[in-house]
Amino acid sequence: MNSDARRSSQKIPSERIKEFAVQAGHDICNPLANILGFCEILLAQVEAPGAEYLKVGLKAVERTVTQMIADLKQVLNPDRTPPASAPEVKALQGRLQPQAAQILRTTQLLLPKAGSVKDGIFREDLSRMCDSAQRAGHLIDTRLSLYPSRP
Amino acid sequence: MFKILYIEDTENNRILITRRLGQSGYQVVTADDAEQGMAVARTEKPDLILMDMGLPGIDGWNATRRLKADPALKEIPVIALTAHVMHGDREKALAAGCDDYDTKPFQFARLLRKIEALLVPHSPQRGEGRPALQSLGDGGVEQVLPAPQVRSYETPA
Repeated sequence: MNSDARRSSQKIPSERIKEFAVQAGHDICNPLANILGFCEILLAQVEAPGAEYLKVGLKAVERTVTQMIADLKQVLNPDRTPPASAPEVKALQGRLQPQAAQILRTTQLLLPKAGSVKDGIFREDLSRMCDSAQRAGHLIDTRLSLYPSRP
Repeated sequence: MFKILYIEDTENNRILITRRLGQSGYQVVTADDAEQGMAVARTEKPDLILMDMGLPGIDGWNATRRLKADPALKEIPVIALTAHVMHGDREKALAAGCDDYDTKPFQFARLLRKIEALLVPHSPQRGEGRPALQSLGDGGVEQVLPAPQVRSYETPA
């Protein structure tokens, strides 16, 4: 195999890994970004006295999700050359899985307390956050497990 | 009141942005894929389109090219939105015909500034009655306004 052909055969898998990284990053970031958006809306509504625990919980979710997105963007950075290795992505998955479980638990714990905020939309938005946390957890489990190995 | 079309396949994102834009005094119509979005753009004649670039089927890049190739729709400003950014994506979006570009998670105040910047020069005669936004910097935008008017166009499951 001449050097051009060798370069070409190495380039294709690397490009495929990058494409995978872009798609997986996009898909996982999407529900996480959604959680942040709802957090912002909900935090604006919990200034009422007596709703401090909701604020603390939402702030914790916000911090965790912000950290998850930063971690995800760093490891699956599509501009990285070479792209992240399979063990790096496995380690990322190992960090993200408990964080995703934590945000889901926190939002589920906050749901019954949402009644203290006299607004039905608040509970609805919190439910949507739960959905997004579940979706993010599922995508972290499934997509990152399929990350291809470098040649 | 300015009308914004948001083309996005994730329901929770449609609800989130609809809520935020509604609170800021915009009328929002949504579509969950590019085909539906093109149809809604023709019937609703929005003042601006927010286009998710990661749409299934026809992606946001191709949808924007089609919009900009349509004489009836090409003047509508399009803001590209994406959740995972690659170096050169902004240029790619502009080359596809997008007028601006933003990334998720949204800094909503920044997105609003981009929307405002595109709406004012494009539609000076439209949007009457829309309350002025009082920017509070990146921390948020004070909400003024009537309940959001929302219409959704979703592809049947």
